[in-house]
Amino acid sequence: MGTRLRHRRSKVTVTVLCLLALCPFSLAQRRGSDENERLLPREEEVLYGRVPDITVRTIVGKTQRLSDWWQKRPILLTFVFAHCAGVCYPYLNSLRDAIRQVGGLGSDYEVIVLSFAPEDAPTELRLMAEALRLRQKERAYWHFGVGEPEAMERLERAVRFWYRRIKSTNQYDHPAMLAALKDGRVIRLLVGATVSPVRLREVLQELKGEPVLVYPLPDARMPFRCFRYDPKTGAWRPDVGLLALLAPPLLTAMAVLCLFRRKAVQ
Amino acid sequence: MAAFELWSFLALIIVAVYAHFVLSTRAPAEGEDYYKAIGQLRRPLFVFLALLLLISFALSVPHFPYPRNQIPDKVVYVTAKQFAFAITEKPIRTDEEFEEATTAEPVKVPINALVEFRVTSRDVNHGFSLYAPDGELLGQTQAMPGYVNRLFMRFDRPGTYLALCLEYCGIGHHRMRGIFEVVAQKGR
Amino acid sequence: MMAEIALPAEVEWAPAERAAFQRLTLAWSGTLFVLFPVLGLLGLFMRLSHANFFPNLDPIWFYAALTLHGVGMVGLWFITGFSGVLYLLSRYVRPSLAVSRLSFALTLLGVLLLVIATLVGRFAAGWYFLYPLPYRSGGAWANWATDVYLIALATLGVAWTLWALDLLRAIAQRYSLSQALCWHYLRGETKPEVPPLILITTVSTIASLTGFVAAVILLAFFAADRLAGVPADPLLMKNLVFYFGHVLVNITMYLGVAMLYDVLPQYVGHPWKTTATTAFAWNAVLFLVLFAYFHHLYMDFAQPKAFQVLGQMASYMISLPAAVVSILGTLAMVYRTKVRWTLASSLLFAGTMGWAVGGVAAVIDSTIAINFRFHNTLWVPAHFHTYFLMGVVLMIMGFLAHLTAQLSGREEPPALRRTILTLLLVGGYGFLLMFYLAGAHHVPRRYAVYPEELAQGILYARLSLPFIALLSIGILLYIWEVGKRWALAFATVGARSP
Repeated sequence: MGTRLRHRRSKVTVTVLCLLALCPFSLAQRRGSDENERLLPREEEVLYGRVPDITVRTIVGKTQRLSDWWQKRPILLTFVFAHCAGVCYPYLNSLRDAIRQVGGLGSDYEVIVLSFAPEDAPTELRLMAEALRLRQKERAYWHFGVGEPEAMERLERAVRFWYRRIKSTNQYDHPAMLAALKDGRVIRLLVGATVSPVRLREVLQELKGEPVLVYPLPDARMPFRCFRYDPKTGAWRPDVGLLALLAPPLLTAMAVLCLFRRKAVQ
Repeated sequence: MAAFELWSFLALIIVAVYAHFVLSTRAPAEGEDYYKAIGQLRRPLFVFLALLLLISFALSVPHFPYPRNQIPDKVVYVTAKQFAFAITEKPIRTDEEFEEATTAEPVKVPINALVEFRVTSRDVNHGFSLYAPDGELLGQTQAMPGYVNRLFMRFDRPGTYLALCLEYCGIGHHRMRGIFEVVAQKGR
Repeated sequence: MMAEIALPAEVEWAPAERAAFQRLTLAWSGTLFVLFPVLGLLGLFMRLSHANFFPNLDPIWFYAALTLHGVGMVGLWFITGFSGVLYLLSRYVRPSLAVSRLSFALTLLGVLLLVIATLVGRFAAGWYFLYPLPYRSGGAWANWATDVYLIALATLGVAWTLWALDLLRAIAQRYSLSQALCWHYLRGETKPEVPPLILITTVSTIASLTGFVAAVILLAFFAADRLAGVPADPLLMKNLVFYFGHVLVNITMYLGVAMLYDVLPQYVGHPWKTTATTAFAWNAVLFLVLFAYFHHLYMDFAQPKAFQVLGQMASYMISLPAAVVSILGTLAMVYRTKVRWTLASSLLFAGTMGWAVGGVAAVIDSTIAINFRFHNTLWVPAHFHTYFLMGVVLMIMGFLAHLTAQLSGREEPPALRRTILTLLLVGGYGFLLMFYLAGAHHVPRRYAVYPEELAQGILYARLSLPFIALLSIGILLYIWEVGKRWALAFATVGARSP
């Protein structure tokens, strides 16, 4: 009896110790995820908010206000810095590829890439733009530029963009994100290291004033849907579930034709 | 109420016509073919009703409640679950967040602002409706599992607005509710 | 007299066969004498709950009653309508007695299962059992109750599909499809002469089959979820259930109209013949009825917008054939004509008025901009009770009065006819008016108890009670009178059958 109790007690002790040992990890994990949450800009905090109309000096030597662009058509706004050894270049590449796939550049929207680093000048950004190897007709709608530090700060705050200097590497820590603006207001925020054509297409649909009314949450186990989203073309394709709606009239028509055909045979 | 008045007006006309026709059978006309005479009304009646319906249809199109090309001033997230609505400034992602939100302070939306409600459900079908402080039903959309319906509304009266469930969702259906406030100054 | 009004009977039945058919028809319609008062009582119970008579009652009973009342009433009037039409059709075609008997047995089984599911199992997901509620009741009813309910629906579905298929088979033995749908009238031909009864029944039966197929698919999805854990798309399920429900209710309405076309002329002395207009109208109905159900999903913004627009258009247009062909036709039939007003002819005639009044309310509610505020308020039961209770129910009651009078050779005294009619119309319309007023004052439907913000709901429910009393007395007097005739007819016909 005594040994059993001791056994049990030791078991409890081991369990408690294990749990205690796990605690720091779980706490760390918890804090990590909280931090991540805080670091990634949240769309709902800025949705439909106004952004300041700041002045931008572009790499082609023009000085103009953001509103000069957004009064013409909606804009996709993103932030980079010229000497980025991290996410900026791959991010711009993925944005360029997604835009090529989805289309509409110049007719439905333009792209504005601003440097957030105070030391960046238009000349340095021009090298970055060249590295992107844009096609001739794309260049007219991709605008690279810099703003006054104080104005940039206001703009960044308005879309929850942030950056932090890392002294040891002479780099900046910052999120990769895209703000879709219409009439100077935030319609969508896309946060993440790459831009998927599927998400971009949703953003563009919203910018056109056709809100994406539904976000069907795809359940892998739901085999019968009426429509399925095709990421390649952005179209809603009729799916097996639609048969369920077409079956009643079709099956009935077949049954009726069969019944009435028998008469002709007789 | 305009719809009720329209219906009662038309219903009274129908009842009057029926009364007239019933009374007419008291004095049968021998030898005359009224069946044909009335039958000749068919074409004009058809044209009249068809025009009436088509005009009503055209007039109703601009009043479709489906979202159009407008940028809302504020977004409110509505999550339904047996048997409460969580009306929040941020999307609800877990059941814990939902529980918390149902007892939180009501969300404030500014008067006359265009408000977008993003409505979804965490379990079965519900109906999200908007009742003004004076009890008028202003509009609604369904709250469906797996879908987010977006409802655009403007409120011109300040006060506490009530959301009731307008799709039967189980034994607590009639108790299900949520509230939010429309305030005169810009709220956040 | 019959010969000049209706086409001559084309089918010869052996006397024993005829008597058996009459007995079966009486058996089908006999369900009305039991189920109508019982299901009506459930309706009264719900209005009493609304009027706050049972403040401490578990709301599950309200919702179980709601479920049984809804599914039961639609089913009851469908079967009495269908069996009545089948009887009328037997002059022209030869439906199978065996199939009708089998269908009757299965229907009784289905009704029994429905009662078990709702009153014993307390299944209370509403007649329309909107996915995924039936298996997610939050403990209010057990999953087995849902199983029983769905099995009951499957049983009824099988019974009625067989019935419908057999009817089409019978029609097909005499007419080709284009004749049965009167397409030759559209080409300007009038031979062979096809009575409107055949046309309307063919249209209704084909449409009802589409509804039954939708129900089968719906049940299959439920089974997949229940047995294999495969979830279904809630929007797809909603489309299916409203397609099935809308079609079934629509068809029931048309069965009453088929009776009207066939029986009313016998009291007016004027034939109701098929014309090109009639043919066009009913073929249009067959097409439009496939799309009108979209108006149930207006508030599902997730539904493609084209469906919504199509729904409003179809809902508007489907009212045209009803108004300019059937209702105007009924009015033309009686105008300054010597009508033999009996319980049968009066009820058939009054039924078309309810159809018109309810139709107006339906068109109003099928306007998307108005449905935005009226959807799932009491306006909805207001309008469908108008063309059900004050429409097709009166028509079928009229038919039954006609049938029992014919078979028993007995008719009611005029004073009783006037009393019954007055009670039904005053009680019925008064009861409905309170639904309309409550709907216009934003009171939701399907509420067991009204929250304090909706106190007007309690008031309208209380105001409706005296009218319900009048209506109930009217119904009981009808059942008393026609029930006597029915019993007499049953005995008379029974004496003739071997």
